[in-house]
Amino acid sequence: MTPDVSTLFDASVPYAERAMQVFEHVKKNLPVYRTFAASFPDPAGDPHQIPLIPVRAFQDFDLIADGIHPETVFQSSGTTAGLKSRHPVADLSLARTAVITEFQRHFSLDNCTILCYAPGYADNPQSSLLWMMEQLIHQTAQHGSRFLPLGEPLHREEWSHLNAQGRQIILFGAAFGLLDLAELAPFAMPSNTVIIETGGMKTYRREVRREELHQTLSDVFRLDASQIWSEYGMCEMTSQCYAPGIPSSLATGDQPIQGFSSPHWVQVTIRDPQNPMRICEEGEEGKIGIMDLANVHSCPFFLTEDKGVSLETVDGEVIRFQVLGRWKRSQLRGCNFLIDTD
Amino acid sequence: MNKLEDQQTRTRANQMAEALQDWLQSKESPLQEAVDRTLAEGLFSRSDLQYQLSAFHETAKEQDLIRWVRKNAIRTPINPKTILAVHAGNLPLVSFQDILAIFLSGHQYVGKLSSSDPYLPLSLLEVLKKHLKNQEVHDPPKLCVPDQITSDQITSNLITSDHGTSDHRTSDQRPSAFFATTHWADLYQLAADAMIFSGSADTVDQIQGMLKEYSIVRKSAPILCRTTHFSIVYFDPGSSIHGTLAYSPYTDLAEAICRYNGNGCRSVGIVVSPVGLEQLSCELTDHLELCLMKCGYGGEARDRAGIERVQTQEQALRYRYAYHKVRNRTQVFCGPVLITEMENPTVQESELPSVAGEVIWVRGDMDTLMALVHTHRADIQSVYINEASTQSLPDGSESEPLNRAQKPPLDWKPDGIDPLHWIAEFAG
Repeated sequence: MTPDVSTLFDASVPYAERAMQVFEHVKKNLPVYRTFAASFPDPAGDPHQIPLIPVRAFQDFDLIADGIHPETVFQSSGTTAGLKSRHPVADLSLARTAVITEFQRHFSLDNCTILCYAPGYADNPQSSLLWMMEQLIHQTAQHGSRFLPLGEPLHREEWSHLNAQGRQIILFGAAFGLLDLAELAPFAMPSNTVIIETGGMKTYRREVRREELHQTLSDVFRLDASQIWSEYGMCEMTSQCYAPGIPSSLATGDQPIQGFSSPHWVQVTIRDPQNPMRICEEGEEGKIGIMDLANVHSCPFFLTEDKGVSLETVDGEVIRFQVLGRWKRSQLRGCNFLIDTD
Repeated sequence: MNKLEDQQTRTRANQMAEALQDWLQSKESPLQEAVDRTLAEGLFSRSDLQYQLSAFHETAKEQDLIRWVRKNAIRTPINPKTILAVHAGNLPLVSFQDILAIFLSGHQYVGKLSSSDPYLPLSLLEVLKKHLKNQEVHDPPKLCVPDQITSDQITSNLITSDHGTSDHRTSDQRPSAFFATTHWADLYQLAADAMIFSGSADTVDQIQGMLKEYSIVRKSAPILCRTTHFSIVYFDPGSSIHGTLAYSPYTDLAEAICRYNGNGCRSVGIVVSPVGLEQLSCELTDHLELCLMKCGYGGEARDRAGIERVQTQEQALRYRYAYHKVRNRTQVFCGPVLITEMENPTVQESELPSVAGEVIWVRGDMDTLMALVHTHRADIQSVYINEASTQSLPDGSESEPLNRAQKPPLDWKPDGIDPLHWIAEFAG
């Protein structure tokens, strides 16, 4: 069964229907996934029962449907073990649709200037993050969107100029890059500026918590904390999830937690790390499971090594989730799970 | 170094030996009721309970207690300390050694029991209490009832050595050295002088909040934390300390893997063998099945929780099996046990066993074993060899015979530390 690609982004078609169509397609055309899925019962129409292959498969195999040649191959920057993930992308126009559609759910491309700061990616031209930024810049190039030169401070005048033209500035960057910018040129940005950090909390100098990073950016650039957003994506995922900032007025003792939401063609679940076929209850920490239908020609169903927790669930669907870093292997096996904490 | 213990310590050891005999063998022992309740609630299988109790019977005789005391030069303390033992619940009475070490040392025991295994330790404490009744009790810990927890809540949650009855404690009353509970809140303001538990560094972080909130442990209290996850064996099927037709080396290997469904850090998680898994898979499968039958797997009526636990383990292993199959690795999948041969003798950290019953098979020699032990020492509890002789390991420790994997001697060293020695060192 070849899935109707046009329905992937059609929210009027129930997710379960789209997911099962893609599942059948992937099972048929991706031998690695077919072998994996054969060890589990048929999902019988329930997307939650679709088995999620370990994300490591993107390191161990070329995950692309039989007979299809990739237009490009995204590559991760590598892990501590030196292994890199490879994500062959068969249809860049589909990937572009995924990137732009979700971005537009949160921001208007008609009226914004996107500035991207991406140090550390020079040695990885196959980065999916760079490609995503390029697409967004391309869409808004007429508004002065561009990559910022590395190591140079931001120019207050440019910000003022764009603001005077009524543009909203969106500054995209990895955590360590944004911290560098904050040190180079602290100044008060126009209040409608949005900063989107794309992760990378472990800098070459130190490790920083997401809350700490957001507070620093908010303080240095004199922006309300609601203007500091987060993006969750990875080489293995075609799509992205965004999390809006928490308004400073709410940031009191019981600070609400910043939560990511996914596009309607992506379903995020939190899985029991011991038994990933079990979906965790709301509030229970586990590994983040991804079903990204925009990965239709590679592998849409996989289990990340990221730790997450569902913040809000409606009818079994995760509406908002939190990313808590990498899952540590030491959290498994042995007595540690067996000590009561009640 | 062997030193003679003082008379009080000697008396204590004798009384404890009598207590253990009474606990294990007497018709009046509360152990039977504890076993019945444990079985009724499906916490462990009958086979696993019998196996563990028989191991205690073999390894905790009077001479074992005396040898242990002398090895560590134990003297009765002038100012006994309060030592909190936090029990895990993965095996029946997994904290047996810790309980005995604290009482033998003459210090005060306070137990945070696991709700997965409350009855067995309580029955042991009850018998110990009876036999050690003449022992002088020095300044037992004073607990206070926190404002936010009503005394009703406390008493209803409290489990004491008076098995099955509530101890109506008020803030003026002091629990004895036999105090044990399944609830952290009952330990409010205990301010223990030391704590022993098995878990991981992450677990310490997790419970740190509770320890702080309830002042359960003094700020400066030493904590003995065991963090290893599994054990490793060098298995040469051609070498056996038994060497009879009726008893093959596979029997010991199967026991070391299958007992307690592979839970526990003494269960084998990595096998290094000069022979590939495929070559041995038939014989090994037969022995695993036999052992699982012996362990009560699948053949015993267990409650829903027990069945669910095993099913969860099987599902967890099935997930791993599915991916190993994609990698075209040789596997033996037998109920709650999955053995997988890796292509590379240098096992990556991400490939180490992370679920009970998961076993990695590596083809290699003794050098391979030593290299793996060196690389993954922090994860590995014990190193076994299926030979009568022991081997010195790179870190100065020694291997243990495979057939003692699930029946360790009383003075074995979890994570390389004898708890009795640790107590003697910190408390003097």
